[in-house]
Amino acid sequence: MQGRRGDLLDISRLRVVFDTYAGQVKALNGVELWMNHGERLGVVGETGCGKSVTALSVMRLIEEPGRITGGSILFEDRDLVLLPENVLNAIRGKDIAMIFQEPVAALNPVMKVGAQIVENIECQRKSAASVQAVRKDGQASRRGAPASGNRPQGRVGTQRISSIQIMRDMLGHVGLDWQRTENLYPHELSGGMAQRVMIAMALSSRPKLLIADEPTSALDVTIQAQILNLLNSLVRETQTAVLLITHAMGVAAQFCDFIAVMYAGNVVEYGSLQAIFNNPLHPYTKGLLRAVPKIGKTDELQSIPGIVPDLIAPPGGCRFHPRCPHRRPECDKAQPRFEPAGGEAEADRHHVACFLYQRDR
Amino acid sequence: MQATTERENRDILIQANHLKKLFAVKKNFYSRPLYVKAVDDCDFSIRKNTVFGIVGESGSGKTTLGRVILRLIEATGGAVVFDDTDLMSLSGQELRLFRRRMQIISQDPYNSLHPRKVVKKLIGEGLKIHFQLSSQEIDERVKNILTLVGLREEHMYRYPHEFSGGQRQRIAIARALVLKPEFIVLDEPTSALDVSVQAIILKMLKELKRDFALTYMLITHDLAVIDYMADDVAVMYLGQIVEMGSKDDIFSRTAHPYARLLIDSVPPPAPSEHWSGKILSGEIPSPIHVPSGCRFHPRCPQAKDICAKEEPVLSELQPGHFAKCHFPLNS
Repeated sequence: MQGRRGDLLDISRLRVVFDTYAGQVKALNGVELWMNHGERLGVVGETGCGKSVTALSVMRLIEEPGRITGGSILFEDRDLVLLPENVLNAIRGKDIAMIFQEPVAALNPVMKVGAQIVENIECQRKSAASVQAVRKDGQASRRGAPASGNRPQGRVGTQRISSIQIMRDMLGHVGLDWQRTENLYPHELSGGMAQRVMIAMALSSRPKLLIADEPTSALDVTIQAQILNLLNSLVRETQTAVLLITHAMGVAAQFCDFIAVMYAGNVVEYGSLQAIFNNPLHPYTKGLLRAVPKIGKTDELQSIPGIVPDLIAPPGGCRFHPRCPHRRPECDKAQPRFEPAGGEAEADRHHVACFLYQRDR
Repeated sequence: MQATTERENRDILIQANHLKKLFAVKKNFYSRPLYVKAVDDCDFSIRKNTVFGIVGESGSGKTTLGRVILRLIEATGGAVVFDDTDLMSLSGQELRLFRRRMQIISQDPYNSLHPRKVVKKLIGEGLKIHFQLSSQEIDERVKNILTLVGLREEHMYRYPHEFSGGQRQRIAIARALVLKPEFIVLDEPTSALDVSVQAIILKMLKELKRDFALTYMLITHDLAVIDYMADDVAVMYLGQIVEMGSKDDIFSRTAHPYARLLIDSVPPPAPSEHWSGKILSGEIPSPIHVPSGCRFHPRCPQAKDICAKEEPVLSELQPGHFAKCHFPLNS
């Protein structure tokens, strides 16, 4: 196994299963992807390919009946798969923040948006303080005691005021008028406004990594353009890395530096934007790109024959082989290794998992 | 001259005149109703054997327009002429006979199929109503139509939940086609599907149109789908058609600032293509309290004083190319 690949996030051989009555769903089957600080990685693929499960795994938010059965998720110097829950809580929302597809559903419906953002900021403070307290005392047994309990009360008041100030600044940054917005409830917001509130909340803790799970899929194209522009300028300012999950190739092409293409629980191809779009290697990537309709180019669309496999009993070997136009005899026997594609600049990081490109064939 | 107009008239399958649909909303039981202007004075015609695309943001009234055309909801005003017959004047009995000729395929293949009916029943129901057929004949026709949309005979006795999204949309297409309609309203037929499945369905719809001489009204928010499918396009904003013309008129000779910004906000799926990223600010206003004058003026980068005061008319810039703007682009 080679060494560390990305200095912010390095996911290797990640496996996730969901136990259901119908059988075990092998949702992730050895996912490989990585990114450096400040980079933007787009994860693209069709419904059910494991994009969102990958994102949730990074946050360790996979819930019963799902579980991570193998692999590692290195975030800076720590393996998120192995960390205990209390340490994770200090990372979630603080170092890694997340925004979702349905912003209105992700907000608390009975709490004003200003208060929600403030709560989030305070929460980050408390968990950061409690982790520090644990570290200082060196006693895990005192973990339960509130870390700020012995602080003078006045301190908390000034902290709250500063949290409110941060909240108002953040609302301003995302293009909302705080005087008008902070006292609204989520149902009073439009989809675009709610997504702005989510972004304000996520970025209020100045995270190192922002996970955006289909952030614009529920929005109109004009609002999508607004949100993408906003995200673009905000993360450029703060040098925040973004893991963008999307099924819209246009969004990935215009927002990301690197692309990971997923199919049925595997990253089948990974590389720079140019490598993936101009020189796609994996037959699935090629098929996917040809299936996207483009304005101004009305040549015939190409579709991928067959359907997405059932992940309870996935096809053996390469999971794409039943639909692949370049199928070879070895394809249904073993899973192809995820290897550098070769022949390109190293900065492209072009990797592919396909027997057509394996050197020791 | 008269001869050409007559021929043109014969080419037209659907003619909509001043169509209007208002929905009354009340704040409470006693309050005076306010009106949502979902479709407000829409005029257009659809030529035989073409695809008429309707595009706009959510809340622009696209779907309502599609349903009003089919009289699935009753219009508040205006007329729809379907092949020389005024649909609005038909009684229930007469309308039922027309239903066979115009069908709808809706967006969500998960909700549009009855969950407790097998495919044979779903598709055969229309046949039973409109044709007096023996059960063998129904069987035969259902089988034929299933093969035509890429499903197999053995799918006849399965329930909708046993199919994937793409397959369900095929069932919905089969159900519409089995009655041999002339006109189909496609209401976001592929928005719930993945791109690779979307490609298959769109290709199939194109082939079916060619083989059966169908006419489509395609409602979608996806401009790339419109570009792939449509012959003529209407762009809707707040219940009104703001620009209408051939596909090339709309995409290459765009006249209305809203249409231009809508096209520019689509991120092109190729990194080599520069995305102008010109942004349409603000959001679509409430259709209850529509802005004065031109409905687009609060968001329009070119708005002048007159735009807030006077409503522009949908005027013909070039033959067949209409725009509702005081200051159309490229003129």
